[in-house]
Amino acid sequence: MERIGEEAANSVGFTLVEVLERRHGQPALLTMARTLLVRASVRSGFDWFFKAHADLPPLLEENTGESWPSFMAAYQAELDAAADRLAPALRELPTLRASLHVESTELGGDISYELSGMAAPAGRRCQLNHMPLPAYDLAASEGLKSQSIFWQPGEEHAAGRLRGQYQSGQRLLAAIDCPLPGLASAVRLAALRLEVP
Amino acid sequence: MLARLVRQELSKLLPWIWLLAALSVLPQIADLLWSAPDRAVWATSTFLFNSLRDYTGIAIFAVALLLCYSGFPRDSDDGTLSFVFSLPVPRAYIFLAKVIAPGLVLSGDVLLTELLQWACHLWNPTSFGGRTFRADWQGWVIALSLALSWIGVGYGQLLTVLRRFGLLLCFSFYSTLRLLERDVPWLRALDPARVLHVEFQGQRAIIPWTTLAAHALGALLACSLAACIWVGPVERIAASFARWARRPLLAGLVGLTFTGLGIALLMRVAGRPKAKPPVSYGHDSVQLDSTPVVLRTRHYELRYPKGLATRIELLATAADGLHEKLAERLGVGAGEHVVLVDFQRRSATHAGSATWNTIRMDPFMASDSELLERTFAHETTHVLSFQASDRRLSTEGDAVGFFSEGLAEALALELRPSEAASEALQLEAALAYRRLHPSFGELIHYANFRERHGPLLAYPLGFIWTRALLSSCGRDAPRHILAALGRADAPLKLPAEGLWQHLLQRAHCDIVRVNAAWESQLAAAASALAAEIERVPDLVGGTPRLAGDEVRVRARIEGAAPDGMVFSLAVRTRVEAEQRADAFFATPSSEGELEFLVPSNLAVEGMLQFQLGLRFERRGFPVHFARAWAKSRVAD
Repeated sequence: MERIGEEAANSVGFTLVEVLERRHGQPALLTMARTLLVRASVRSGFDWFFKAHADLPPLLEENTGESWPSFMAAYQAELDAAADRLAPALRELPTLRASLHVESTELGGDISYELSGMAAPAGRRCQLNHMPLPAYDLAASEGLKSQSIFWQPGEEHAAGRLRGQYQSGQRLLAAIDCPLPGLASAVRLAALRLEVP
Repeated sequence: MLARLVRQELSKLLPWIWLLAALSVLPQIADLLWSAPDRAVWATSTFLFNSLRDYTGIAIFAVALLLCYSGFPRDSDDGTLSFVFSLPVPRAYIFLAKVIAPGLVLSGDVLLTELLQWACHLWNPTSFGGRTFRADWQGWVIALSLALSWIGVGYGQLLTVLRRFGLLLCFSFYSTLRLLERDVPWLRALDPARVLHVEFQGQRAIIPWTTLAAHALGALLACSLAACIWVGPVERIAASFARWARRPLLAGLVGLTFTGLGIALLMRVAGRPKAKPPVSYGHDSVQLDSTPVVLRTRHYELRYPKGLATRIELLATAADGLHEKLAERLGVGAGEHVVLVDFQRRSATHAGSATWNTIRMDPFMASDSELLERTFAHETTHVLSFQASDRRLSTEGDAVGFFSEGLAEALALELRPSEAASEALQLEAALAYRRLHPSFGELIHYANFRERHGPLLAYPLGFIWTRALLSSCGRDAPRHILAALGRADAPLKLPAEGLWQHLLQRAHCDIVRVNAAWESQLAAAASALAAEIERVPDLVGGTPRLAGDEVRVRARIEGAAPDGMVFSLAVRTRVEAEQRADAFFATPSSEGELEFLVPSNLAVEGMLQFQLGLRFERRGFPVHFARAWAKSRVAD
């Protein structure tokens, strides 16, 4: 989710469920969902080792008889087929790029960003998402802050910076999300874990 | 020869070795059995990121002392010391054996604990498989724990000369340190457990080399002195210490003297005049007749200084009415418990505080009778909601703490309405919404939320959330939530998100609906108050730089500062949810530059923790805004 953004991650999850239902039918899907979601929470090591330590791969095989590698291969094939089917529409989508850096200034660390790609006649409203991170790497969840970036109409480049919100020695996650014409959701163009020198 | 002596010492320590091994193994087994092992990761289970690291250090130090007591003092008390000295063995070897043996036992314990941590985390995909484990951090954890063990043994050898009085001295030292370290920050350096305080520059560990070297040297000196006393020409000193230390009256008198000295030092520090900020918060106190007076009503016992009689007697006439309305609102039987209200103490930070049957209020924080009644209603809401939830609104504070404050604000304003007070809260919430983007997920991890934002932000955000609850789920929703929380079968072990989902279902409502209303009310407030929010300058920067005995923290405001706006920098030396921060103030230059001067001893291991904030008044009510707490390296 951190790398591709929440909306794209939801899309991946949705298509996985869709493929699962198509291959094994709704009853098997619902049985598996119940096994996964209605089971008791892991409250102790005993639960974890003996009762509830059931990841998706073994559960899939148990409920549908299909192994995880086989299902993933089928999912990939479905994605490839969808990419072929939607190729004309995908070609219409502009390719956007974003880069993120952190710079030390007299007031602390600035996050600077540069966006490039096909100009949009009405401009684009992108988001710079950021949050402080601890020294260790865990998946970043709560606490993402946003700053709106307006990409001017007709411009192929946009740049800017978030000033002085992070200090020397701090780690942070920074990500750029932009909307694409033809897609209902924003696309994550870049996501980096940075450190203010 | 030395190896044989060490083996003999180790065999004497065998009961301790078994006990320590059991104390290392049992918590790991308990953790494995009673807590979800896939939630903890290796990094957060070490003292590097664990808030219990102070206690880890004290525990290592205490065990080192106990092991040292099994050395010379035990031989001396058992009368076997003269026999040991009569052996054809150099006395220095005897002393070394009694130093090495406890050191080896503690080192073994440290390594066993780390090995067990590894074993438990092998199964956790986010520990070794994820990126929370780093070999250099593991190296520092082991190296610093071992260093503290041997430092503890060094100091322990000297303290054991004083027998039980050594333990008393140690206890007095730690108690005094805890009391004084906030006012005299340099005292922290005397604590050997500070060796475990590691800061981080990004992912690079900053080791407290100066503290480590100073305590290593101190331990070596202490050990040398102990050697002189136990096996050197001054061994008779040890004998005389042993004689008087065995007299409880004498040892008690010396202990009392030291404790008295500590208290005297504390009083002197507490009585020292504090530097006055250019603009102060709160209201100045006035000298009043302090004779205590007790006034009883149907539901309260009010205790106040006689000088406040006019204000408190006026409040007392309204108190029972407020109590009964709130009790009805929260589903509590009125009059079940008489609430004790104390108006006799001052507070620098809180207008009031409450438990399930007591209230403590500082009447000087409320400038008029209306504000006093509103604060009283706020605290009474706390009391009654603690009772309605079987005190779980307090004990389960991490998940529901924000609601406790929000509910108290909302009901106090419902009973004593004030458009200006409500708008000030809305402006605070809208400012935070625009600039800090708070989420419900942050609020329901209340300790983390307060560590990150301080204690004030939960009030306006909780107030708007409670209003969203009332508008989405009806007037009785708080009563149902409190009753569900207080039930014996409330699923308190659920994660906070799950617990709230459960509580809202019990209130015949839905968490998604309430949170959507909350977001929408925050957005509406931000939109309605957009012009005012625009006028509040943004706070940028916060770069600390060492300048002599002070740290200069530079920041900037973006936008013009309206008259009367106060800019502050809060500084803390520990990460903790409770407000124990020192505040410093600065006036912006014509270019908007702010420079705060902070005593350099508030920087810990070259890092300064601070929070930039501002405060202004809107129609007589204070509005606060503060950036999240930050930690920055202090540049030279």
